[in-house]
Amino acid sequence: MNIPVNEVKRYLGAARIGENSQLDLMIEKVIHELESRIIPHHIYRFFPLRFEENTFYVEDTPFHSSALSRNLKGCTDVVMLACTLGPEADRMVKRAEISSILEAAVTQAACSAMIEAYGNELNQQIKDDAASRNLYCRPRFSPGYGDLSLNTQRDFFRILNITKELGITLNDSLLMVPTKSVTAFIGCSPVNQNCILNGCEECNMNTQCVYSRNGGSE
Amino acid sequence: MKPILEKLHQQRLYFDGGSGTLLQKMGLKPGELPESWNLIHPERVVELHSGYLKAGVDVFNTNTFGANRIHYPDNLEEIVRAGVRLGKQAIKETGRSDAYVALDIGPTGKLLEPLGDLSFEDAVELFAEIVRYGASEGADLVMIETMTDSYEAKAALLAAKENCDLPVFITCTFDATGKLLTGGTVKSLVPMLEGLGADAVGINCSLGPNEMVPIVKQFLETANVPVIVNPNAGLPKTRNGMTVFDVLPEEFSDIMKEIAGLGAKGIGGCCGTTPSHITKTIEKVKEVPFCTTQSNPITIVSSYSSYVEIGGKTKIIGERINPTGKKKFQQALRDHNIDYILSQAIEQEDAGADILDVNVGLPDIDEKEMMTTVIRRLQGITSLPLQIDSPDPKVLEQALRIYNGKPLINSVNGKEESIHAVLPLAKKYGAAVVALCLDEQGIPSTADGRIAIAKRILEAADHYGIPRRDIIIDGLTMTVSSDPLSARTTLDTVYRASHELGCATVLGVSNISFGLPQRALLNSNFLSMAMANGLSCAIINPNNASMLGALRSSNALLNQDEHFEDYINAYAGTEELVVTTVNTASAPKQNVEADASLRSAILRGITSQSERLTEELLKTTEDPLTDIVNAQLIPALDEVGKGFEAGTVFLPQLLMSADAAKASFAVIRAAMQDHPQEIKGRVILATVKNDIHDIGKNIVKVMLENYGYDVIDLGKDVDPEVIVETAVKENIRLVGLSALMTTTVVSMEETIRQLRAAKPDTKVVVGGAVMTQEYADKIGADAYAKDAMATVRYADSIFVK
Repeated sequence: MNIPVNEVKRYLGAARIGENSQLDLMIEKVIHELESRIIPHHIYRFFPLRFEENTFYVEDTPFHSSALSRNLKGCTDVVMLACTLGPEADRMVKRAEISSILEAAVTQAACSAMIEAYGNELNQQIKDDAASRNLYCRPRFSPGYGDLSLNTQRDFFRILNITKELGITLNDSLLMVPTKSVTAFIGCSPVNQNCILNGCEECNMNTQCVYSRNGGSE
Repeated sequence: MKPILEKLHQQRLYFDGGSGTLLQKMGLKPGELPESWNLIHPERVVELHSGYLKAGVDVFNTNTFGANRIHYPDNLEEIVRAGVRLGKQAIKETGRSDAYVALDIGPTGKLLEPLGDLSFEDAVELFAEIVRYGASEGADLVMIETMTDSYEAKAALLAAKENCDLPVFITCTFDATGKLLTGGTVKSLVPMLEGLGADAVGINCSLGPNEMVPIVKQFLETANVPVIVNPNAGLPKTRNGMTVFDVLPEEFSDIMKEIAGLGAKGIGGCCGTTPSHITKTIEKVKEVPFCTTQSNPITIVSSYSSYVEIGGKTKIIGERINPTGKKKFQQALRDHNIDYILSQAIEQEDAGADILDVNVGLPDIDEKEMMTTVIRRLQGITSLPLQIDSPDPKVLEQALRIYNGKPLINSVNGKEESIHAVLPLAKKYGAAVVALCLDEQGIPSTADGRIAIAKRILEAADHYGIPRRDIIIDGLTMTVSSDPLSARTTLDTVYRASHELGCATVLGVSNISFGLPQRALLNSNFLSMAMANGLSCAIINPNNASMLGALRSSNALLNQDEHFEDYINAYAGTEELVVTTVNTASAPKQNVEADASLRSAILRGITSQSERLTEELLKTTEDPLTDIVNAQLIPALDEVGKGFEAGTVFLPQLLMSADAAKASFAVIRAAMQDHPQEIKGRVILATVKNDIHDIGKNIVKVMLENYGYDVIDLGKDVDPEVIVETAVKENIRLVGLSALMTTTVVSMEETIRQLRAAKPDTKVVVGGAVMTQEYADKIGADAYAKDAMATVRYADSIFVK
């Protein structure tokens, strides 16, 4: 599991800071600690997919979203993926806050970069898995993104049995705890399409988000 | 009551297998709650149980795994009672009156505080309710299973023990590396479960029998009670969108036979196993001879994820979390400055402590409340086991109750009153106890006298059902200058407690040298001698290099440091010494020479240098406020702040400077302890109800504090009522609220509404990822702050005219 330094800096809002030995050392230390102490966990499964207008069905559960239905157009299967860094990541942020707010912010950013990197690694694994079934993957899409309501988390959790398998829980406002956790749909189609946009470009916050890869507004 | 416990110690018991897949075959729909079938399809539930009874199981679980108040708010009692009744009906129908109905209890699906939002006591009550219904309906035992969090396991066990007299078994779920999802291991978990009174412990679910073998071995090495093993039929695989388990009965039963041969006493299955898996298993396991449960005499204390074995290498119990003789610590307690206490924990852990003593008693504070808060917060940032140190049994009980792991109590002594107050608590909560060799007559001056008291405490412990391994004898260190024989007496007591009584031992060391010069010399030599006499734990300050030197050297010399690993790691090359934070480690020496003003140190964000320069400046000035704070600190902070606002300084640089300034302020405050601090104003900060993101709020807190504000930090997920109540009670003029999600801005709006009604003169500033000026206006905030600096500026506009 490799945590990319430039991604940590992006989350930290430090992408444009030049060489800074103190910050770089801190990032290096935190990354090392995370890599040695955190064991991420995941689960994913392939499901056959069924559509009705802007609704798609996994098992017999409906999910309403025009954005995701567009993303899944032409797909025969969908992968549901969940992964987490577990509670130790949240504890490490808390612990860092006691001694240094910089270390806390770096830990927070490095955890975000780590779960993203882990998600990407799993995504590659899923692509290979799909390829062996002659399927091609679409970009991943998470509950709460676009018009896919956060409420879908409850069904998502039930279908994958996430709390039991990974120890992730939902609080009353449907946020995941431990916080460094990701759930996502990945569409699988028998036809290879290259034109589908990825991540930031597809997001409706694209122009306002400070974390956007394209800069966003300041 | 049918004597299942006697049976479990005399013969192997067979447990049932999976139910989910079988119920699905009978027609359970995805998303349908299985326990609802107790009411709508009772005959199918009886059929499920009957299948296993016919296969020959001794114990089977009621269909109540997910039956709790969260899933069944309206008809829980009905569901649980029906579940037990159907179990009994199955026994009747199959004529298996020798079999036992286990009230099945699974996890709540919620994560407990502090990480999650379910409080420990709420969790206990949630489980208690199930236990009350199930026990009164006539279940034969309680089976807690599939626990992935040690804290939730503790809540369930306590609930079972407090609400029925039935035997309680508990099995937890581990991953292939032998860890719980929350980080615990067999060795950190099992001592806690046994201590809390589990009659059998074990592992179920998630893994197949093959993957469980190494973990079962760890169980058998650790447990003093029978071990239950209920694996899945292999690892789950997906076929056509359905989960399948593909280890068939033949293979499953072969591995279960091996597992029984290792010494497991309870044998069954979990997901994907069927009556035919169990039939085959019983057939083969019957050939394996039964052996009685081994006892493992090792003393273990633990936290939610790590454990310390007491014995062998001498362990360090850090003594710094204690207000005795420490002005700064006392002030922190009075100010409710928990962060200071936590920083003491981190320092000691980094210095090499194995266990932390926690004493927060002061005559003028609520010790019970403080102890609870400190233990909760400590367990949020360190995994070291804690030694709970209080003379007040009420404080002890509350602390033992909420502690996540197997704690150590400091202490019991030979007085009748102490024995009868402390030992029952140790028994109920499964703690290990430090036993002081003193009684109503005082401290005996001979080792004979002290050993006699130790024996009396051991007898009392035995009477209460506390195993000898959980009593750690303190031979008592007395000042050698007032009695030249005292060191000898203590050393003899340690030797005899260790060699004659076979107990673990502990000493507070530094008392020995009281009233003599060069105390470190005497202390460290005395420690070495005590270790040579068998000392298991030393209560010391781990930041003290000479004590740590004596400890590491003696461990090495006494063959308790394999390959001299600890010793070499600590002392091979001086540069590896005392590197505690990157801030200190990374301060480049040449920079110190280049520009050695405090202002520059803060601008560049170098914490160690800021501390050192502040200390130097303090020596040369009479008026630190004018000469240091106003002349250097504030201008430096302002420069960084303005740069941040202008976009030339980035967040990490702002934070570096904030850390450096904070360190400098801390030095100044320590020096001016007796002078009243000047503050600009008092501000409440909180992340609103249902929101759990608080790093942004914490950054704002550090910034406000550096700019001279007293911040009342109410934390995250804070009820509107709490914020309003605090604002009214403390007469607060400014409240800062943070929300990260659109979904939690609702709570922000509600908080503002309540605040306006109760205290209209209080201003509200809001921030957080989703906030905009427009949004802030809409929910009625007085101001929107886009970052920490903007919050500081707004606060200044209110408090600094």
